[in-house]
Amino acid sequence: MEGIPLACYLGVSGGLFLLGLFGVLTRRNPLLLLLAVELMLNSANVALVGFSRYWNVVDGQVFALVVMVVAAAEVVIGLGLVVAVFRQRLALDVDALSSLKG
Amino acid sequence: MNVVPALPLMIVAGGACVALLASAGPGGRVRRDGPFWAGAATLIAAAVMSLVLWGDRQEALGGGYRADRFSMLLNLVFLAAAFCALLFSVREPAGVDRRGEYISLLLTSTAGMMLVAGAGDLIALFLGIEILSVALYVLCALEVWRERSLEAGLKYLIVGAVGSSFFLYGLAFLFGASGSVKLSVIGENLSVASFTDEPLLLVAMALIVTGLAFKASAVPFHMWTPDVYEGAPTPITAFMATATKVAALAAFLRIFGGALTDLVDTWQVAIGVVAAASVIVGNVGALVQRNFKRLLAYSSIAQAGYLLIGVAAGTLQGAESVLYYLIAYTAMTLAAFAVIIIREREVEDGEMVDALAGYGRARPVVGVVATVAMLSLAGFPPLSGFIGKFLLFGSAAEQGLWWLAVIGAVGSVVSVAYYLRVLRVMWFGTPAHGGEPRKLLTIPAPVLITAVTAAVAVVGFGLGASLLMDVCRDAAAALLAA
Amino acid sequence: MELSDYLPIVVFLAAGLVVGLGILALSKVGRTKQNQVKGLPYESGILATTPVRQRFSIDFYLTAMLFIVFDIELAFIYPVAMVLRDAGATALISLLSFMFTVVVALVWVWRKGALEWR
Repeated sequence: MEGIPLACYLGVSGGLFLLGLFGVLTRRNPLLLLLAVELMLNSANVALVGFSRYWNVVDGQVFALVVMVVAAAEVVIGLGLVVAVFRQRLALDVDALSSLKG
Repeated sequence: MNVVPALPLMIVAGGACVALLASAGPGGRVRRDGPFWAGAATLIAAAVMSLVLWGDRQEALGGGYRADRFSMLLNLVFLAAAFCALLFSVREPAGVDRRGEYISLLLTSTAGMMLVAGAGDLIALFLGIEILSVALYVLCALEVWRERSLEAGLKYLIVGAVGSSFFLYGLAFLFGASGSVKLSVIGENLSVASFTDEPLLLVAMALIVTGLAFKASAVPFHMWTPDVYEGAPTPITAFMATATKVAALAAFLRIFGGALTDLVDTWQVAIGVVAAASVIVGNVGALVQRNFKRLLAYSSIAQAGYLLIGVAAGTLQGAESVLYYLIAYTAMTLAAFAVIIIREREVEDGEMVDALAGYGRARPVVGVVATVAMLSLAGFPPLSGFIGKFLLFGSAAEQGLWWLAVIGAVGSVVSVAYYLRVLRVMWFGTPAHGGEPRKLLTIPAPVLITAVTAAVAVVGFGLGASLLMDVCRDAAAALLAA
Repeated sequence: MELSDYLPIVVFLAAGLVVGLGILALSKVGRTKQNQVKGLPYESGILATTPVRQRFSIDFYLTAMLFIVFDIELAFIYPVAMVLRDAGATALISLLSFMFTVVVALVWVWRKGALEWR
């Protein structure tokens, strides 16, 4: 294979995956967790594209496209839930205030 | 392009669209009842179509979907579980306010499961797993006014997404090791060359087992299960506990029992260890639970362990035992959750075991349903739970995996303690406030009918085991059919 | 392309690293003086007139999320457009059925009023 050897793709991809995993294990903020998960999913994309080039088939690239869309859907659901939690907490706080006023 | 074999899948996906549109419809009756009927009709139509397609393998969508006996049998299981969840949700809070979304997501999730069971390549497999998960994340959080529900959804999403990433990374490496995304070609490529020592392949298998263990709630990735099961709306928990587990096991069978079957020596021990750990952790965890939903969550971890014992056997016999037990497990778990669903509507703390004190005497029918479910889960003959476990452990022992069979059997004996504790409270317990159990409301007919049907199925699958086993054998054989 | 063709990228990265680390290192050398002007936000800009840590309206997030969902569909449409001539009717029908589900989602979002900017 010409150009970048497979090992480079796998190195970058593995690094991204571990970075994402590190983030998942150390962070507690849901937004940062989503960010880290996104990193893990996209590291797989790098590997897929690298393998796709290595074997000279396009299947891996198709896979990567699908993963991109799926990852977007997943992160939107995640953001939606975070917003819903935030809204509900807000509502609770407002209730607490009004009950204090009597 | 041949789409006929994928018709059950498409019917369900189309039904999800119809249900969603009905909920945004011109108001009145359509908006109120439309989604339910659309959902019911869709599920029945898809089941009929699955029966019509019962037969040798037909490929659709460019080989991405395979309609064979394996996928069609599992289709029926998914559709039945979805139908039960649909009936359980009649007049359920989440089901009333957002009926269209609720039913549409239920159907979407079912379609994802069907795609997993019939996946012909890695892309379809991943897509199926994601469709079913993403829909379930939302379903868990659908009772937005309940903070527990929202948190369950968010937690499930984060944990599930991490699991998906592992799974995807494993699939990427599997593609890298074999040079194809087609499951059949992967099998051929890997069995021709002796790839067993290739580190890439080992990493791939480890990651795939990890990812699927997340989805099947097997140890060591089970921590989310009790919290999510507890927080989600109970009909959804019932659906998750049954159909999701079936889908995850279907993926296990498709990959390890189908494509990688020649490499059984490589993955057998890994899956065996996961199975044994799940049996131990699940059963020990369930012993101390006072919340019935959490108890069933731990029990489902243990059940995932039993099922994985059959996968670890790596034989046709193992695969057919897994299929049989999946069907039996679905029936008995649905029956068990039906009891919670009924009680939960009557009292605030209906999901606690203690809320069931004396309930069996007050409501003999529900009591009998619970008894059948618990005895079958614990593995009393002649119920289907016993036969399934017997087959699973037998298939492992036959392959020389005695240690697995023994751990499974000991686990089942331990499980008797907590299953029978529920029954003792139910039949012989006295309610905390003396006399009769509090507040008995009329049970909605669909819920009661579903509960009774599930219990009858548990008994029926036990009595008609040989018939069902023949079907499962055909289905398992389809895994390896060229 | 040969691997050596990527040398400029490596040089660029190295240069960036040197400059960045260099500035960091220089800031540790010698004494630093603090004065009022240095402590201002946006050292060389204008003063913020509104609170900087203002929260966005939640509607903004909703619209942004909807945008992402509908925007990412392009990832499928573009490849299909590239091969439409060769793949023919199959590709077109697949794409149209995909677009149909997207439109269903859009109709639902619209009817539920999520597109209104309150």
